[in-house]
Amino acid sequence: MKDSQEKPSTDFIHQSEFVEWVLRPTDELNQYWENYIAEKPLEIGRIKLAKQLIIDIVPKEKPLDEVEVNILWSKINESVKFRERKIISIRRWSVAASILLVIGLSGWFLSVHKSTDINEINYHSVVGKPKPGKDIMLILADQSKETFSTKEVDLKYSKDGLLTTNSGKQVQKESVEQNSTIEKMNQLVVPFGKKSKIELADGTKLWLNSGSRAIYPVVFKKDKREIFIEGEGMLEVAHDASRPFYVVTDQMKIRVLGTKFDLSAYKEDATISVVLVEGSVEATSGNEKMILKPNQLLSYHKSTHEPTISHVNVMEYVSWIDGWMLCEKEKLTSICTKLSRYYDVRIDVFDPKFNDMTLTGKLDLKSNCEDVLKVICSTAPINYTISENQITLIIREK
Amino acid sequence: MGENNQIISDTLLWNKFIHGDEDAFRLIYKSHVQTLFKYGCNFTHDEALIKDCIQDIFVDLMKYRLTIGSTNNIRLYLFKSLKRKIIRSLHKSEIYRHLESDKIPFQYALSNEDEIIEDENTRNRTRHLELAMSTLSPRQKEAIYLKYVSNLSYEEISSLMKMNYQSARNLIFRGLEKLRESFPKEIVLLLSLLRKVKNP
Repeated sequence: MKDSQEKPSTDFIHQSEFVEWVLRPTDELNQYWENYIAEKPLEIGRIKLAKQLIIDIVPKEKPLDEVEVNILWSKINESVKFRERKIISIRRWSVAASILLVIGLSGWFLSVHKSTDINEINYHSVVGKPKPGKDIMLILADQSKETFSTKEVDLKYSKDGLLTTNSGKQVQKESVEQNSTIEKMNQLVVPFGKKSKIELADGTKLWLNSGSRAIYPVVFKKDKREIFIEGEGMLEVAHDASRPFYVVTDQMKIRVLGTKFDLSAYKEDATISVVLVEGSVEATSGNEKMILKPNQLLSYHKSTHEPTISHVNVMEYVSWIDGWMLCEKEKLTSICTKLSRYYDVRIDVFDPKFNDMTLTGKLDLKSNCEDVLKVICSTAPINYTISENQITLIIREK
Repeated sequence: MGENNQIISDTLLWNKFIHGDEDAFRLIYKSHVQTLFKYGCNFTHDEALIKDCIQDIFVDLMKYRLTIGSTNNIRLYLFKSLKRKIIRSLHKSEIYRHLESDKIPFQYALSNEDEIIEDENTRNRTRHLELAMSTLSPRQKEAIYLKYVSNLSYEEISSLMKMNYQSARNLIFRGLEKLRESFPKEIVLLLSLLRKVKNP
């Protein structure tokens, strides 16, 4: 490069030190090129041009989103596991949806305790229970509130508890002392009709569905991670054997060492359900011990304390994080319950004929509620009426 | 120095994977799936096909892991496998059946179709560059892409594109010269100076 002045055809773009500096700068490279410019100030124009050209050459490519990456990974594992069975792929989606089995996590487990002294931390006293509003609300440790009017919020906590949001909204810095005995708690409240994603300080990802809230420390303690959830959340827990992860709900405590699952614990539902996507599970309820495997659903009946395990298509339980509702012979009444939460509307299905009606298919929750209803009505003999915030479904007579 | 480290860790990771370490397999997938997908997007717009091909190469890895032997460069190995898979799949379709594999267009899409470039200056440059890009041969485009976007070395590019080291260098050199000549120098310089004045 010393002779670049004499040989103008050898431009900076061909020099790997230069390209590296533009695309992946390091202190060393910065130093080198700053010196270079100081020595040859006349080169600055050519340097700028070369830099711009290299920046322009690198396309702004759209990456795969996280959910797609995970679905693809599940498909790979499914094919690996079931290769011998020669599963015929009828449609791409049905393959993606059928089984999310992961072979790499067999050592990890999750256990569900039926326990009476669940709330070691009284979450309601740590952080006040908020009144549900129309907007997603974040309550910080000092009780100050931030509201978001968007349909979705994406929060990310750094290792030291610094918070950034996707909306570009500046959230005040929470100062965190490592040795503090009191954990600083934040609370995110997602009203009906909205959803959110939080990346916690340890890297664990939590998607919160409509009508749900989560209370979690800004930074976890050294020996234990614990969060509280009400409603529905999908968790992808970061593996950390030295710090077990606990999820607390009103009636259940789940212990996790690193796995991926969906938890549904709405106050008004009769059951709490846990669906395992990845990992291997040991569930304890009373004296009963059960092994939960991926694709299994544990339903825990709140009044009888009766647990049942069944085999399910996990995509039906987790596709909401990507804005889809996947149904496989799902009861119309259950679909309507989910839709009413998701869109914050009331859907009445009075006619007893609806009780036996099931639907199979994929609903796009990114479109509006009426479009979704139209899709349902085009496949089933149903009509709907809307008045204000109230939707009523009626059987279409021939 | 970084490159050396990577080669050592690649060999180790690969060995772990071959010996049945499933976490290693997962790590290989996680660290390469995005670059593989982006590379694949240059051969076809059919994202589902690219994903299917990625799925196939990882399933094959697992299937044949006892017989594939060692590698010190996982990325290159995966790039080669993916390219072979995609081209084979494309050949099955009507449009590409009659084309030889090195004639399958390498698209090198500079701008994302969904994205609207608001800045006129940037839009201008992108248009110029796209025009210049269209005069390059598919192989030239691919070599430049591998060098500047995927950050492959000349050795890796020559191995992936089945040509010798010097030819790879020449291919990239000439391609870049063409792009550089197309660049509207005066405009860019002037505008970049103006921008400086506006927001110091």
